[in-house]
Amino acid sequence: MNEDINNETKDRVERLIGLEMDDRLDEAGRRELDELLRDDEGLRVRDEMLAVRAVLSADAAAPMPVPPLLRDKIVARVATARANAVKNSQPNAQEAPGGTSGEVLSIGSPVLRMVRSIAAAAAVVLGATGWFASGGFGGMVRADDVHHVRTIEDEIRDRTDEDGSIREFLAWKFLGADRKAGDAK
Amino acid sequence: MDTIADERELVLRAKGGSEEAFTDLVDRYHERIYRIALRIVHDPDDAEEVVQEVFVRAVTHIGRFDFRASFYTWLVSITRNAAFDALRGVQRRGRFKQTEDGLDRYEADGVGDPVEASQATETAEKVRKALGRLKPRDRTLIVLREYEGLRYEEIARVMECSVGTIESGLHRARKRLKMLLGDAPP
Repeated sequence: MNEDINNETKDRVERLIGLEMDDRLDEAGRRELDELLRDDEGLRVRDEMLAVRAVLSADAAAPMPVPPLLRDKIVARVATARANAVKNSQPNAQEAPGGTSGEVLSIGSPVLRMVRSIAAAAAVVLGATGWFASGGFGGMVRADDVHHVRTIEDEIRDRTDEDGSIREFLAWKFLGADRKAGDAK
Repeated sequence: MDTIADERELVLRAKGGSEEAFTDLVDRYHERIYRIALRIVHDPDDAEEVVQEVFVRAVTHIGRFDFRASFYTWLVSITRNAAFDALRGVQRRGRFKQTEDGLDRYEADGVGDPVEASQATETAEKVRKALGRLKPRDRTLIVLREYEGLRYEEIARVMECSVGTIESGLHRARKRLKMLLGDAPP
């Protein structure tokens, strides 16, 4: 029983000391801590906590050199990523054979390309209605998927000046944009 | 170029596509980001990979940075994600260390100067080894608070949780660290 009380006290002192070290102890907490520190056990716990803090501070201040070529490697990797992004965002960079409209079949990320192909096929076969409405598209790619350089949302937003029922349908489905009255029916 | 306004200008230029501005941001932050990554992943090679990945993700998504946090805090968020991804990768490849190997390299040969490494105190080694034995999440909390001096609100943003969760998490992490160091720390 006494041990439980001691552990509880110890835990409380540790918590309050932690808050004090981080300048987050309020008035009530300070009064409680002062009370707990009247006890030897409380003082001992406080000293241990302060010792840990001191050791961490000393370690934080110790030198930790970075690899000499790190900066150049980062800059090179960033340049490559940037070049890839530019290549992927160029319209009509590679048009699929037989494509009649660059804006639908231009090359984005592989996933986007696949999704677009499926969308185009579905539009032809099903009149761009049933399959999309079933939610199958949404299950394949998330519009906020940050692992892809360009998302569906980016594509739709970039192409709002162009016409096309698939695009309008996607805008309606993912962005809540108004569809043309004729398409909605 | 040290004021907040100057940094905002730099970030705006980088958002606009300026390579020079983004390189300035790399120059400004890559060392700090490397140190955070190294303290989380505990392996110099993995840390190097993480820091490169951080800046690649940053340049790819800088258009989404909205100044709600500082650019540095945003980079630290990316670092946390990239470092956790790296740790998961290490686990998948079956060489999850958090062990003394990685730490020895980190202390002795991985980051250069053997003279400086030999000057590392026994206490510092003990602390780093204890840190290496914490769970990645607890270790990250200690690194962000004790080494980087981030405020609770900033840590909460980085860890994507509430300030209350950070408070409890830090309490738990410190308790565990104290235990690993032996109840009477060095």
